[in-house]
Amino acid sequence: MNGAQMTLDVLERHGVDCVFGYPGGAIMPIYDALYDSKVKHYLCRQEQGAAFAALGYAKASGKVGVCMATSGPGVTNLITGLADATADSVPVVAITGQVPSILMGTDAFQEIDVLGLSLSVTKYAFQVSHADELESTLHRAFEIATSGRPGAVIVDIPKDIQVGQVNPRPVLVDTAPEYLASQEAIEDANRLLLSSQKPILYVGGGVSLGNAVDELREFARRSKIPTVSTLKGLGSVEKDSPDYLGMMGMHGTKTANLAVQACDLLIAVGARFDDRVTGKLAEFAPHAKVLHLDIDPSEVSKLRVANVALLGELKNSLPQLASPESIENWRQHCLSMKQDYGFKYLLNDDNQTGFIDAPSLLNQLSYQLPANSVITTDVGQHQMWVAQHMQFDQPRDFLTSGALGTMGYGLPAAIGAQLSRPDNSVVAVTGDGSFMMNIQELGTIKRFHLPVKILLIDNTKLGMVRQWQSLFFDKRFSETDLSDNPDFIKLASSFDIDGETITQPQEVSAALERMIQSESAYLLHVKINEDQNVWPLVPPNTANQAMLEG
Amino acid sequence: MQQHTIKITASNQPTTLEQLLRVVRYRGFKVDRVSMNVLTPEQMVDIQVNVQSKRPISLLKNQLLKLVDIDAVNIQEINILQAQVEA
Repeated sequence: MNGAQMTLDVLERHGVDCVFGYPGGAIMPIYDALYDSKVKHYLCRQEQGAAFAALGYAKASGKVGVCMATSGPGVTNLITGLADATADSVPVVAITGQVPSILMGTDAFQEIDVLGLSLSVTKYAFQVSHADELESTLHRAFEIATSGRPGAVIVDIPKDIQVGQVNPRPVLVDTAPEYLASQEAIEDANRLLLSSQKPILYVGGGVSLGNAVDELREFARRSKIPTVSTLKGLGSVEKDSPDYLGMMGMHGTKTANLAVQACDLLIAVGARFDDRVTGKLAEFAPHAKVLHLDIDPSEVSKLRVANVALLGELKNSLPQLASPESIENWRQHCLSMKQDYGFKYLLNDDNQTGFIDAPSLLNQLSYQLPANSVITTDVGQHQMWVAQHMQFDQPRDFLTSGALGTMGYGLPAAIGAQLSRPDNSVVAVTGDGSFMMNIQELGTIKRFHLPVKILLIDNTKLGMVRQWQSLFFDKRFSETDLSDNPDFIKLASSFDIDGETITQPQEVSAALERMIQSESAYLLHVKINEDQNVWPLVPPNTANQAMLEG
Repeated sequence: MQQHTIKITASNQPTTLEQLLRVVRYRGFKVDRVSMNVLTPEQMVDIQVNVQSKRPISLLKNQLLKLVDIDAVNIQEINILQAQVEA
């Protein structure tokens, strides 16, 4: 057995049945081994697409996503996806080929310093220097990618080690111990909870990553604490819960932001006080004590000092939390705000504006899609509209680039999601700017006959940048016009993807249904008014109650 | 501006020192002095870094403890007068 065959053997032993990648000179031995392997390789059309497909696969399935690329430009193309995975705590293992050991450090053809390149954007980076280390290194990569707070791990394998003979041997891999909050901390937390009269449950992406959705929902049901979510926490809270107030932060609901600003106890669960959530940090939740539950000690008191921290597995901590006893007045206040400030939708004939209303379109899509459908987004206005106006059964049904905010994420992520969940509908909601960022992945959809649906919301602009130019840069619309976009329907057609364009509100319901019912890939191209913006919006470095409402 | 001495015990990997210094810089600390000794057996190293920053040292300590190769981090605050005398 050579190193390349062993690499695939280890992948199989970790339950990996598919990988996403792109071949090249320094990784040819592994691609040669793939020719006879049970591991199915999905050829993407650029390494960034392969990385995002692995991310989508991992996020939608809860498994580790695996991608591979050659040395040099293969790795540099991959690196944005790995940065995205680490920023959003998604377990991804990247296998990269490297020039032969004897050429390393000589600026050889397609050589790049992979460790130097990747240290800041991966959870860990390995470069295999001896054939004897290969097997244990690969096992360790999976262990690091999945333990604690997950992330991306890169394993760089020089070509001579891929072709060299190796001897498989039993490998003992340390299993990370379960990390539990102390009883003393639990008691402190419960004292805070029992003395609170206006608590808010602030739910982040860590709930899903920690497999604690059931425990979170049970605590929310039992305690009846009004609940808000971050972008990455969407889907964790029961969507029909009366106490769920929606997303908070820069584009959060008015109710969620006002409730957080007024609360006396903020219970942060797997959340990290991101600047898009807090607005002006010094004025965020000014009356609140903070109870912070997280697996990652470095997130506690990083931006907002916690009065009590419960460090450890969320699924262990949440069931031990007490329910506050006298919050009914506060709860009714929140319910009343939710009633007063809810979004209003313009459906079909009610909309006489002559333009399709993007929030109404997405809200309608949410109702028409089958249960457990997966939505991916790119980044920009359409991403915030999805977050505001669609509802998800589970957090694994909503895939978005939250922390890094990478345009071009949505289409390849949808490919990975569709392959991991072939029985579910997968819809990539995108904008005309983002769609073009990884448009080459239409070729991957064609090659593997994937029934991915694409909902393209087209305002012929880089809409979110334009919105900020309109609000904060005196309407100086610098480089945000995309009116020379290609004919998207013809473009999709050249990849054998059917589609249609709609422009009128009355066309929405039927067109959505045609897209959903299509047995193959489908592009629904929706033209909207270029001046439609995302509201509410909290201006930068502003307290969240001072939101602009359009 | 606070000055601190960070004493670190870590696994002796090719990227250990590079990753440590990267995190120190990225998290807003300036390095005044650094030394590293390989321990016997050679799988471990002792690293001492003198840093300064306006940011709380606890933030850096927590970030360093996240690094896979770092086993232990101990912080000592440098008495500025003492540091000036030694200089």
